[in-house]
Amino acid sequence: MNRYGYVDSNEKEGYPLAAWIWGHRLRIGQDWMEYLLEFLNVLAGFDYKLGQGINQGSHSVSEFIEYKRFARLGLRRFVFYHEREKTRHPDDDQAHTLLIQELQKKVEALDTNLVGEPVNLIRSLMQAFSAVEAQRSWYAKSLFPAHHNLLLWEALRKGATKYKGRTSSNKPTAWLDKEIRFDQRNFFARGGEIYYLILSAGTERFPEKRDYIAKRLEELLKQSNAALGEVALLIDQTWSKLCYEGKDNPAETLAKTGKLGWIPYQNTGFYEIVAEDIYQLLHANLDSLELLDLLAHLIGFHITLYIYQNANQNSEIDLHENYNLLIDAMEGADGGIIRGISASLFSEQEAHIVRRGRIYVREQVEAHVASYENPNDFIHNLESDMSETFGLGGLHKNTLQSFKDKVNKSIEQFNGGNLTKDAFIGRYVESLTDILLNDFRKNFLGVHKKLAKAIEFVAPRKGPSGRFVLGDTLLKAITVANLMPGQAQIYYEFLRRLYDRYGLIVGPDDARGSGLLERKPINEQYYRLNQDALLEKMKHAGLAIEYSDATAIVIHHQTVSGGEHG
Amino acid sequence: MSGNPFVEYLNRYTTVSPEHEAAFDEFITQTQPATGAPLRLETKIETFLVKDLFSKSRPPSVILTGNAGDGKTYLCRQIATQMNGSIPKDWDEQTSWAKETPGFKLVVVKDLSEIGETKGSELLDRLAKTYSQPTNDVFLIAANEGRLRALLSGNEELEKVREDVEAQLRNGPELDHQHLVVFNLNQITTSHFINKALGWLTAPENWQACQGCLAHKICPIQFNANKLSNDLIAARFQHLYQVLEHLDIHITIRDMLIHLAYSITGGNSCSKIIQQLDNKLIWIEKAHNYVYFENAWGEAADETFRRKAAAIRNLRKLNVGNSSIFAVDDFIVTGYPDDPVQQQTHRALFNESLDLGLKKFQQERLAYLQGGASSPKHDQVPVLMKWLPHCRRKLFFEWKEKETIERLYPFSYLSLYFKLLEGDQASLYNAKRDLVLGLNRSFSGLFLTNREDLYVTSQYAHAVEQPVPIVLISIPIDNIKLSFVSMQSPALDREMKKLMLTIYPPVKVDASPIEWHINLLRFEYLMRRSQGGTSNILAAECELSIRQLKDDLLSSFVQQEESNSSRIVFFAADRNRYKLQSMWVDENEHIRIGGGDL
Repeated sequence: MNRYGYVDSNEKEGYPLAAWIWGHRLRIGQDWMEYLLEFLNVLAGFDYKLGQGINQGSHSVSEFIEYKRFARLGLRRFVFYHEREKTRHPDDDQAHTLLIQELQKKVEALDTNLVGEPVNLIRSLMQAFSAVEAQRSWYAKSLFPAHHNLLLWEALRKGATKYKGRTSSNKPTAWLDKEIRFDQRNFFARGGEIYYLILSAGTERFPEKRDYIAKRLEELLKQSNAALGEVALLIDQTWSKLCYEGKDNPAETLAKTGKLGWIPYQNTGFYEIVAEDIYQLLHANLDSLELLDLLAHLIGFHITLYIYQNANQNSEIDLHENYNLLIDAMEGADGGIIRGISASLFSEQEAHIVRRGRIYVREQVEAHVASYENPNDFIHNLESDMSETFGLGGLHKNTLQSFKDKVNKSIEQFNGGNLTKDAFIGRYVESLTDILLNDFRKNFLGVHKKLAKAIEFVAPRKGPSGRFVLGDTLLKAITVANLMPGQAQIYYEFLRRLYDRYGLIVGPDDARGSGLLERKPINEQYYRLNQDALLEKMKHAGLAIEYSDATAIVIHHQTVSGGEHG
Repeated sequence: MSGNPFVEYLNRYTTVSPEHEAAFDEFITQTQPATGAPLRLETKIETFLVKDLFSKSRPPSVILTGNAGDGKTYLCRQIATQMNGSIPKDWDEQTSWAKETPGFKLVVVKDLSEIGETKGSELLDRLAKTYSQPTNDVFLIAANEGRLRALLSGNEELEKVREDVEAQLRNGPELDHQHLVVFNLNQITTSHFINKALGWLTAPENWQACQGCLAHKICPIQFNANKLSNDLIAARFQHLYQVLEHLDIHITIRDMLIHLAYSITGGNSCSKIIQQLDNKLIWIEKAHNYVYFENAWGEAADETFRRKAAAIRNLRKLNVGNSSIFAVDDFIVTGYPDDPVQQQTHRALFNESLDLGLKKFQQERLAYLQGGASSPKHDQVPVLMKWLPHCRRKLFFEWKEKETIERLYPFSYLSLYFKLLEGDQASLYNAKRDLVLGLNRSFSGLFLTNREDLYVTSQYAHAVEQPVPIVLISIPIDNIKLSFVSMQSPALDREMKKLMLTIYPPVKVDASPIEWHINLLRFEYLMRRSQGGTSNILAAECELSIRQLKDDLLSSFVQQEESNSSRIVFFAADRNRYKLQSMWVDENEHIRIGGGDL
């Protein structure tokens, strides 16, 4: 299999099943916003360059192999560590007190009517950029990168959650950060790296696009909200000066060890679509926070589609028949007819993901067996190859034992002549699939749902069910990513484009063209109403104009001063 | 008894599918009503084309776009008839028609979609040639916009035509354009034609046939025709259409005619009514379901008709009559016993009449008020309640108390909106401050109280903690103008004013002002927010367009140097309100916190 990214030359541990199909790796723990945060961290850590840190699959040689992770423990502790902290630690108590004392010397309020401590005002301003909605320890929280200086890489204080002592240790200041690590990847689980790799792969053939994307993002993170960035920097530097007196910060040094994962290198057409979308999006003349928000939505959208595409990429599956994402714009006005179909297509996607996993295991086993020179002594080879590929050695002892027992039973039967070779392979595949699907279901299967719901590509936000929709922000992001500022496109052509690029179905034409109308027969009229409903929404949003004759034009509105608009 | 042929004629409007392209022209001009004259709506555009444009020695060509039912084909026919002196021979069979006049040759194309792709392209090529070469050709083309765009795209020869079409569709017709004027008949305000259409529908000669009909007393059709000739009721119909227009909903002339015709007949035929003579008493219980003020909302219509008749579909969204307004319900039930004048009015409005089940309503009302054997038990819903939506709708059209009945609309600020359009300066001044407050709340997501400056903010949209919006620009109220703009045109019947918010850039910013059209929905939304309403009501319709305004303000007024500005200005919670604060790092590497001056 072709891979694109950083592949460790002495990789011995193998990868979970999902990694082989969707890359290393996507995991359920990662919050939707953390795809953007991690991606920007990686990009900024490569000095705002795409195509770096790659040792396999790329046409060009990377300048850097490792990206810098942003520790910023001073800033992070200042913003997130407070009385209600769930994971308190005496070292952090001490560090926090020292930092606040030092900062108080540096803050001056000119406004004597100020309510509360000036330092608290600074904190509440910074806290407004808290990016992740979750009860987490201070070191695993993140800030929305309104400025480069707000980028934070996930950290962990080893043993902090189990720490029982509560007395202050009065350590030398420089020791306080020592036990903090940056390589956990519980939340920055490499989803942002995958996106970085998709964009890099999608711009392999288009160096100008690659440069534009990287430079524009750098501009967004460095030129906007500069004052906020200065305040953040000052807070962080106050800590490092206090702590290391200008010497190397050991935590920062330790942090500088990020290496990318990898993605399967196939279906490059989709990678290029992703790159085009981002290239186009970044041309929009919008406020930086708005643009980054649109970017976060688009990343979630792309990753979800990436999961679906790879789930359906298989010789046994007809992509077109399976890859129909019907958008429900009716909001129940049709008595839920479109909603019902959309919901069934959504649950179909999940089934496809599982099916893809199953097929992959079978293909791997069969391919390996076919490759062995001595067909009679294949069992030993097969066992060790599969163990290596999927990293079975890392499984829980009991899980592994029950798998081995099952396999051994089949081996006995095979050796005793009670099983044919084919039947043995069938049983082996079954047992292997079962054991691999445990982890697959637990850590990967839910990723698409979690992402799609967060960005309002799937509604409702809560609960197990879902149907495809286009929430306001996502709709805006998609429109801006498909039209240059000032550009216009006839609504029907726009819909066709959504179908061609992403497999989204809204109106009767694409429902017919995709075969969906045949597969789920309803009156075509419903699709027409659905199409009208989406248009109505776009008109309210100023994303479309209708002059006459139901001929609507989708626009990427460019600021027109003085003219009539809105 | 044979019935009135005009009723049959009207029912043909209402049974024809609104999707049928030719229906309007066909019915208006070809199928004559048995009695009286056909409807003739004189339009400004017709006069303009004949008297101003095509009377020139070298007139420009004209393209007409608009929805099916706006009268493109009808207009072509009128122009051809006037230029020709009479209806051209074989008009109905031809797709186009040409006439040599002294100086130019007028080519009228009834429908660009009907002449085929190749011929359509050729035609537009010829039109494009008139830009550069002296030719005799002058075109009048009725076109479906989608087809027109398709033919114009991807052909370099047609680039100039395409640009002109695009620009004039966006900004309105350029009447003195040398080569091409594009009219979008969608821009016509249909409300302007209500009186004329109602006048024709209720003309006495069309209803003479009803004289002597035995069903006269139980006939809702005739009842409706009679009522709709009333000026007050006609004015209320017109107001309904105006409200739709201020919601940016365009009803075509044909949809209006279908709606008005249906308001009269309710889909009933003479023969159906005449049959009811046999069971009069049962019919009287039902007839009030077919009176005009029920028909106007399509109350008795089936789902398909409601969906297809655009006017009814859109009017139903206004939901008039279904919610209770105390002042209205009180009047219906009590008739204001302390006010002799109102009592008089009540008697006149609620007299024995077909729309009230003859005496039925009065009986049930009195039973409710006076109690007695027929009065409802404690745990029963009084029968009278069933009459309330019906009577509200009746009053909506028939009661003179305009301010009170306007409260039946689902808009709390409708009266104020129309008052502003009349140019009341004091109201404009106050409304501007309220709108600024509404925008401040909408932009920031905070319950701000400032009306003296417009704060355009930027914030992280998914803040976990209390959001702290950063103010990127503040615009003093004196830089903001609220005014109304007349949309009148010498060439189109466009009787409408629009409310505009003009926002001038702050000092030191070199940019053109931004104009924002405040339609009725946006007005309602912002006023509600300024009065403390929650953000969810009308959010789906308005939030995105307000975000768009914010995007525009930020991208035109915030210049690069400013976003680099060395201070952060933001709203911080301070006791019970939000206070503007600023923060910056000074040259001594200290963080300073100050007041909120930008």
